[in-house]
Amino acid sequence: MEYRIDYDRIDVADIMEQVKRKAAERGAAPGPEAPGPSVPPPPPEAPSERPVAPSPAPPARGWKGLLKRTLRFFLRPYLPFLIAADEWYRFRTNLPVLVRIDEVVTDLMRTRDGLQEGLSEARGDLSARIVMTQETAKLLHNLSHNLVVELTKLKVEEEALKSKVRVMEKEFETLGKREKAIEKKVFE
Amino acid sequence: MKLAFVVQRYGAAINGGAELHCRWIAEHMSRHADVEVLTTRADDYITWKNHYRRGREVVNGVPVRRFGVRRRRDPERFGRAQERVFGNEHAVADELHWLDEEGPRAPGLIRYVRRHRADFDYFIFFSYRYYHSYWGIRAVPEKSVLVPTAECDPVVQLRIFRDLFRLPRAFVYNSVEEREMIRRASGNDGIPGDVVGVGIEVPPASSGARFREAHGVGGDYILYVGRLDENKGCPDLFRNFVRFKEETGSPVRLVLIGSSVLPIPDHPDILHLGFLPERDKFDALDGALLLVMPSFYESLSMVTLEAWAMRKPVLANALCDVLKGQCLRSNAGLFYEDYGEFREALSLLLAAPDLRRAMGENGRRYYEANYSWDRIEAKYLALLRGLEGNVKA
Repeated sequence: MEYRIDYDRIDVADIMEQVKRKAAERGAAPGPEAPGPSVPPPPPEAPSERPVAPSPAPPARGWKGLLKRTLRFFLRPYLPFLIAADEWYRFRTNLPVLVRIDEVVTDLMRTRDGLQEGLSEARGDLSARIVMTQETAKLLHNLSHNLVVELTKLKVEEEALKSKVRVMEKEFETLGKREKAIEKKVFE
Repeated sequence: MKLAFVVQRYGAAINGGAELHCRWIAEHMSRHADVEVLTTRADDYITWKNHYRRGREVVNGVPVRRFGVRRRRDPERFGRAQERVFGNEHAVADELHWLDEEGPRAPGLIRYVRRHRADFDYFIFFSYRYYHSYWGIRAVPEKSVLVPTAECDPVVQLRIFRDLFRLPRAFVYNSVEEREMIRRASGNDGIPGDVVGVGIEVPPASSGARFREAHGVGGDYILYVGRLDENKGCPDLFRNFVRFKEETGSPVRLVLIGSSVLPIPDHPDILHLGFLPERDKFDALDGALLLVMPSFYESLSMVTLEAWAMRKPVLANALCDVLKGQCLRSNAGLFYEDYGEFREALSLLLAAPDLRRAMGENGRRYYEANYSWDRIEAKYLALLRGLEGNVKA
């Protein structure tokens, strides 16, 4: 794809569209110039499932061979005991290490249990505190709600009382006037 | 008009992005207003260790007042604070703790801003993400102008900054993308602001031949200028370039200018020249076929503008919105998201000298229209004069 560019009126947006198209084309169809993804190296040979038995050694000849065969014949019944003895020896040699590992593992498990216990306690405490805080918040909410209601009632009551006082003042004033009028009549 | 420029570090030898940006703007605005720079005594942005002397001095004709950093940054503590804020659910208090750890913690600077608020018409804060901007803007919100120099990173999403972005009197953005990002994060659409950036000065007689001779660089080369680190996308650039060479057999070389915190690949066609003076940098740009800018996080990329001022096309990382947007607006650069696009775009640019020339000319026109110093100064003055009320000049 060739670029179409008007050199008298360069339009970068148009050139960039062409650049993007070309980059996309090259990305979509890699030619010899732009190699595609490199082929990964072949995986190593998979090992055969069964290990191949080593070919048996040729039988020994001469008096050495005779000696070996004789020993093998006499020792064969005791071979399992000999192997077991070898295993027992190995086990005994490694025993202190195993005991130490066991101790360390036991210690770690104890520490883990302790931590879990502490964590559960802390979690329990925290849950209790959260519940307590939630309850306190609810109580405070109710309290403030009730206070608002009471204050509103008191305000209404105060207004009613003020009105009553005003009415009584008027009545008192009227009574005073009446008193004066009656007094006037009496003295006349 | 009296202006205070407030920035985390300041000095003729400091050539970091926002600090250099601030110095250039302060020096140019000193032609139109009384300017004073308020900054810290730090020189090193990793530890903020006090380096300069306390008090007042003059740098390139601009008075600078320095305040001590009370506590150096401890990278380990800062790392922990960073992990907490960016890797976990956290509270605003954690973000403030992160800001404290980030530094540079200079409470004297904030006190000075608060006490002398009446002495200045505007306080122009550079880099939103540091201590001086966060607390400084809170001290004088009605007189503050913020130049955020924000990059598209997770810091911009922190709650403390979302609130901060709604406080200043005005904004000076580096790019359209930066403005949109901050507006999306904070919803500060109502606050006035303009996309300004920074001006670029090109030395009169740059010479690619002089650069080649001085540094023994032969053949065609593409150039990277800047700090060589991971955030700047340098490992990707090395991988892409080496693969490009292997696949295409192109003879082009990659020249790297800037101090490195990364191992540079041992490749015969990758040349690392270390940090070079300005003249050598422009000479290198003059001799290069193009500038490659692999950075993920840029608020403006001054070196990209310098390349365009030198009529050189740019190959940029498309994953940085600002760079991609600048390439599209200027028609002076191509961009890539992955190796395939890197390969195609670089091959096209290397194979088409006419395209490089046409893009270079577009870059130059874009620079002249937006980033010459006359334009930048005019934009700053228009913004400040446009703010209602207390302009005295």
